[in-house]
Amino acid sequence: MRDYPLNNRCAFPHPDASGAGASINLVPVKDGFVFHVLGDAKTDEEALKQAIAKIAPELGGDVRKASPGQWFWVGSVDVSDGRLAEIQAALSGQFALVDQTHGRLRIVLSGTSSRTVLAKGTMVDLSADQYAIGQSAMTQIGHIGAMITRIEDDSFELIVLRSFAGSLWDELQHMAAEFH
Amino acid sequence: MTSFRIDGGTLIDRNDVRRFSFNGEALSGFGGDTVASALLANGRQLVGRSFKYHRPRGILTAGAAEPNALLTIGRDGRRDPNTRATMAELFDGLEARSQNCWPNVKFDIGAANGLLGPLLGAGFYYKTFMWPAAFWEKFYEPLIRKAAGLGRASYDPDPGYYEKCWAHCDLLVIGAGPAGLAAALTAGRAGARVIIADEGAQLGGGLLAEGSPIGGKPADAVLADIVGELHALPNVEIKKRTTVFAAYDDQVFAAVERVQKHLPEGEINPHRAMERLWRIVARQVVLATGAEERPIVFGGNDRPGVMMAGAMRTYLNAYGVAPGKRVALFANNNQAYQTAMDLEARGIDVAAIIDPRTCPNIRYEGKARMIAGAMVRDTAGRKAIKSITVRHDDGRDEVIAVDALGVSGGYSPIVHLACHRGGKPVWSDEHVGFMPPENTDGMTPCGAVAGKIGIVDCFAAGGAAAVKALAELGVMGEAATLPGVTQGDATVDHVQPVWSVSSTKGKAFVDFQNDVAVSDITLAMREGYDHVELAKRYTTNGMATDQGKTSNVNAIGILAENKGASPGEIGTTTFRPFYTPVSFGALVGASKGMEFQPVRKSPLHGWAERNGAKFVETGLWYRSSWFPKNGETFWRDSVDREVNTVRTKVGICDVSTLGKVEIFGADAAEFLNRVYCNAFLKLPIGKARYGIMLREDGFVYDDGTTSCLGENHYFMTTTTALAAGVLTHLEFCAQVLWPELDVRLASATDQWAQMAIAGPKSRDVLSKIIDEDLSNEAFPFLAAREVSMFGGRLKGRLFRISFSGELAYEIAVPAGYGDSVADAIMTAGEEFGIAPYGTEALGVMRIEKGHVTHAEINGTVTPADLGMGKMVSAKKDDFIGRVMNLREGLVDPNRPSLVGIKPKSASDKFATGSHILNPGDAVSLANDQGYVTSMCHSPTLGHAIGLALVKNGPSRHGEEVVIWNGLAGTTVTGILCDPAFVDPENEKLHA
Repeated sequence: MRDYPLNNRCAFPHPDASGAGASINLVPVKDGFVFHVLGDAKTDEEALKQAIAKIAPELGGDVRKASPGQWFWVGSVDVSDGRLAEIQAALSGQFALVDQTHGRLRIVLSGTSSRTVLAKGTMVDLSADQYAIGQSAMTQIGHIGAMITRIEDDSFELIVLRSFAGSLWDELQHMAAEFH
Repeated sequence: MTSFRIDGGTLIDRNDVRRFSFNGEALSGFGGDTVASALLANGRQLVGRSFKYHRPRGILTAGAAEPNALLTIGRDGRRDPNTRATMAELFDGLEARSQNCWPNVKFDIGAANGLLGPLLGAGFYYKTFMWPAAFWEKFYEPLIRKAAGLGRASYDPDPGYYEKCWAHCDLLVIGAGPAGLAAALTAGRAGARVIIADEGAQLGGGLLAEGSPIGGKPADAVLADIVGELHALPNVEIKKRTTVFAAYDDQVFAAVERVQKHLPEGEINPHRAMERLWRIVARQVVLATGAEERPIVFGGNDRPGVMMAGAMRTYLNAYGVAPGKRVALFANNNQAYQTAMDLEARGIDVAAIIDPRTCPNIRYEGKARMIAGAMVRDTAGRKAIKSITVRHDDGRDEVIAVDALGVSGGYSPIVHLACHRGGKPVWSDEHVGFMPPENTDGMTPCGAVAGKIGIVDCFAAGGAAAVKALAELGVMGEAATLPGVTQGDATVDHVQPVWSVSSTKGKAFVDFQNDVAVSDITLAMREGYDHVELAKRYTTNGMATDQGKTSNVNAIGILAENKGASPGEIGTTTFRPFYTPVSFGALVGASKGMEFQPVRKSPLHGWAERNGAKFVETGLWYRSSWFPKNGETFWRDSVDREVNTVRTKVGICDVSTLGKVEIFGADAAEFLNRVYCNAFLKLPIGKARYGIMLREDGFVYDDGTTSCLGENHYFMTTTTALAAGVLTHLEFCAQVLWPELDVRLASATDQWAQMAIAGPKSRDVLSKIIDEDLSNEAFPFLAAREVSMFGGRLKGRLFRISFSGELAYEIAVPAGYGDSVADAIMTAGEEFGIAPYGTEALGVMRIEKGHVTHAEINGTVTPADLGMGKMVSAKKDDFIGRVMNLREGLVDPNRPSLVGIKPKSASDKFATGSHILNPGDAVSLANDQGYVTSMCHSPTLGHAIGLALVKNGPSRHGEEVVIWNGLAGTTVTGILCDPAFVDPENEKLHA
């Protein structure tokens, strides 16, 4: 059993197929990491960024505010268990780090209709002059909690709890269908 | 085409002929027509029957306020009842039917109700259906239900897609008439983010009906210029066919957009919404909703052919439809004279203009005969108007033959949205109408809604309103220059209030939709219902789909007149959303069918599906409840087999849905010690402990295990049901109760795929995939730690805990690998006869073991009630629920407490919820000893077993009781016993 094949399954129904259309594209993000970082009462985002730069500069990624004193550190490289343990140990005290890579999944919605599609789900004003590239918000898409981050001009990354990924995928497909 | 379709019509396209049916009759109209304009063009004045008296009714208005012309449009799932013909756009193949008539609109049996008119006045229901009492359910209610309502909803599902959207803007302009267009243009040119919404199919509002040039330029050309510029501005979003129907707090406005309702079946895009519900967040609002022309109340004022004067002008100029061939006008204001001039300009004979004002200050140079100081007191005609009776100022009556009568009783500003947030409209004697409230925070009314008259004045008002609204946003704007706008004095009309014509003979209707006549309102007053809100409810004036848009102010005027008060003293009824009806489709949006609510799926959902699981919805989760095999068709067959497999071999169960919370911080142990009633301060690393959380009131809130995984790092599991609630509770404790503690919480429910591996062979199975020593010595009961799996290729968390009562483990792995690991466990367990088991078997085994769930933790039990009183720490200084748990009532030994229960005869069964009685006592809740909280068939014991909360239960083991099922009316003799039916000494747990 030591050699039993282990597959990391994506919870999106069609992880390899993008919901592509002329003006909308929907692509699950399969690689990378999502770390949930919990700061103590005295920390702030700047302190976290400095700590990351010092401890794990090779991981890069973005720091997105999840709630007061809590952030999602999101990146595109894969992190081994060993490296994760090292980072957790190096951060400990000031920051606790929980690996949520499997629990919080990412999907990118891009294209000129991306804002129109997302406006069917979220009350956050995502217009270009109100929602800067890199800006995040914890909100809802319909009834499903999600974090929305603007990653490029017309491109948004959603982070959703794994258990809701299938429902979110279905909802996004409905919302985007008129543009396909 | 008939002779009613004349030249002109700025909205219609004569090259686009559209065929439709009305009550099965084939008719045709043009693109741009509404159903109402097409019907009028075909000479159909009679379109429906009234609600109560089934009187013939025609088309009164040309817009949203229509009370009469309500049709059922479409068929099957796309059938929309109560659709206003004046708002429905004509499309090829449209099917429209009249409502509230049988066998047809021309000959309606229900019209016999008209003969009973004297008996059917206001309050008729309340007075009539009082006695005899026995008649109510059998006769009166069915009768009323049959008579109630107008159109009938379809029972077929609507195949259309509906959705909800959010929009954001600096300035929301509501209404795209002259004022709204000027406001949007002003703000658009200033660079503001503008949304302009209008309920019509085309922008323009009053401009669409304007037959005269504006500033020397044709009205339609002026409109085209404005709309063209708005379209060209990238910062202006135009929403046609969009009714803003509600104003809510925080500048949120709700609107419904009819996206595809105007399209024939073949042109509907199934992926586009039929209707879209908008929530618009606007920093500022310009309210340019216009004003509604008021009818005048006189005898026979509801006869088909009687129409608002302004509506006549719209049909004439926008749709090229003549309202009749010989038309009279009855108006108390100057604006209606424009209709006369436009009619005459199209060659339509205007028989007379009847003006109640003795000296109307109007320059009218048309051919029509002006009759000043006169009133229309009655009309004649069966299904359409044939003549009017005019009462002259000298008391003389004159009958004038006409086939249409235009009426104008003044203008009521459409103040609804200005009042939805609680503001009360203000009466203006000058404008003879209720004006928007003075304080409309964040909203600037302008144009006709603010009392302006005429297109040019509204242009100016719209521009000024936008400049004011922009200034609130710190944006400088300049009012858009539009044709005809000068700095001169505003146009003034001299409206003479006429609420009802006192010399009237026939039934004079105030509210057309509800058949409320003047006599009903005066009756309500005589019977004490003279407050405007009471009068509304007693008479039904202002109710139903039109909410009294054409009737409310007249009703208020009649109340005022009869009480000798001003309409301002009477006041209005309360304005509430919605302004006009909104379909259920739009309100529901996409949340229907399988999309009614989101589904939560375990990371092992796919694995369970492959193993044939039957799923059950538990909250949003889909949990596998049992796994039928080998032709098992009855759920108990599968569940019994699964239980037996676990008890004798090994089973695997998905427990990923349990709530999981990562807890960090230097004070995490202290924190846990305070939220659990039992001790947690000294839980060693690598150990799990069962914990009970109390509420402040001393009752049990939730239970679960918490493991210490490292220094200052704990991992808590909660029940599935209270996963979110417990985390919220913990956050409250951390943030509000004890902010001084260093504790940090993260939900990790979705990160882990967690499986229970239970049964005597569970160690053997897990040893094949876990790289570590799992012997009882190396990994004893309640051990909990990270383990290496599959030769170091995966890290998991292993907990030696048991809900089934067997030797058991729970293994958690990163969710993405859950599927593979579950497959691996099935493969590893094959030689031991492993079987997957679901929540049903899980439930059976926990009852056999005497473990509690929320069936027992039902909000009324203490730890002692559950037999866990000793767990409540007496040493800790404090914990949540400590003090209240000591209350006298909560430590009473006679409290219902946990006990096992089984039937005296093994073949007997009983039901959860049954009550426990002492033998010999009368079957009554007065003799209640407790109740069964859980029961199941125990495959291990071969008979029914249960758990119960029974008075002083633990000291009554062995006692015979009666199990009483009050619903089924049955009793069974039972025996109280130890709740641990299986392995009461816990030997298996420590194997």
